[in-house]
Amino acid sequence: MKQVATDIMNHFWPAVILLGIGTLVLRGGFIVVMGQRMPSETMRRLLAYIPSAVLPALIVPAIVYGEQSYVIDGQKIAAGLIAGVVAWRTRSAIVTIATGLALLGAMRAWM
Amino acid sequence: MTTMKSFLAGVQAQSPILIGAIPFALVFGATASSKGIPSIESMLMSVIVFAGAAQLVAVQLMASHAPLFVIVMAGIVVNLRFLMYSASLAPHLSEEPIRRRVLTSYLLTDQAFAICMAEFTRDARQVDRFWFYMGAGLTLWVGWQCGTAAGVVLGASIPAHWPLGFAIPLTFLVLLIPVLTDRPKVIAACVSGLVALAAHGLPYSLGIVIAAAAGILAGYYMETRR
Repeated sequence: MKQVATDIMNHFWPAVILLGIGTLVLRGGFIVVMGQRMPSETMRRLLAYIPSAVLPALIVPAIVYGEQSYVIDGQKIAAGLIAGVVAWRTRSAIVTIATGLALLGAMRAWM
Repeated sequence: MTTMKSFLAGVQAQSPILIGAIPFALVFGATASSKGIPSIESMLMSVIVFAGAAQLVAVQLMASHAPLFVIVMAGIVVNLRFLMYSASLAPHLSEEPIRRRVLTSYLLTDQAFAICMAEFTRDARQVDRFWFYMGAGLTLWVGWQCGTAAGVVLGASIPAHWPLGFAIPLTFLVLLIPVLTDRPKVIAACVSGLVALAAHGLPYSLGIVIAAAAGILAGYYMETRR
């Protein structure tokens, strides 16, 4: 048991520190560096698509696939679609997440 | 609006969404703990990195004995979206002194970004942007640390068949829906989702970056076509 714990911790601190610094650089990239300069018109229009393009890249594979890539999980898709409708209708994070988790939990337990 | 009112407005705007981020933190804490990372180290990771998706990816790679380079690269790639968020937020915070800008950078998350962009692009009320951001950002920060601690402590007690991990995409879904206000945005989302599905097997989580880039270009193209 102790051997396993030591193995995973081999790269822990270097990884965490490098990742922490790297992430801060990404986060601060424009906020700290840009100062007073405003982005160009084209830049601004491209930037407007960030939330609508970045979030689905995180959401869709996580809902469609199970533990393995390219293996489709029908229950998650169903729960995800219903949660999407709930999010659209209620605009409530609490209701959406509770509904999604409850639906998936129920399907896992009884199907 | 006063400093305090702006701060509280930020806290208030962020709080409902925090409910979604807590299970995410719980999952991280529980996962890190179950893979053998000691409690203090898990909690410190949530402080130093403060990015759930990257933390999970990194911990899973550590558990499969990936080389240091792979662990860090995968985490950075997953977090590339923060660079984009930074570009969008920068104009709104450009007046602030550099110390404040570094602080706001550290607190940048998907949730803080969504809340602040929604607020800063509103004409209605005039909040003090820095303090609104601090209210939103700190709320999420505190929630994230508490969630991680709870996950580390309770992890083993959570029944294995509870699909808590599903809360993670749901958290992001809640942030996505309000943003889909016109057809180009919906198209951007659809293209991104499809590309992400196809590219999921790529190493270093590159699929996410490629999908996001495809979505942005698709949306921009649809907008200019009108």
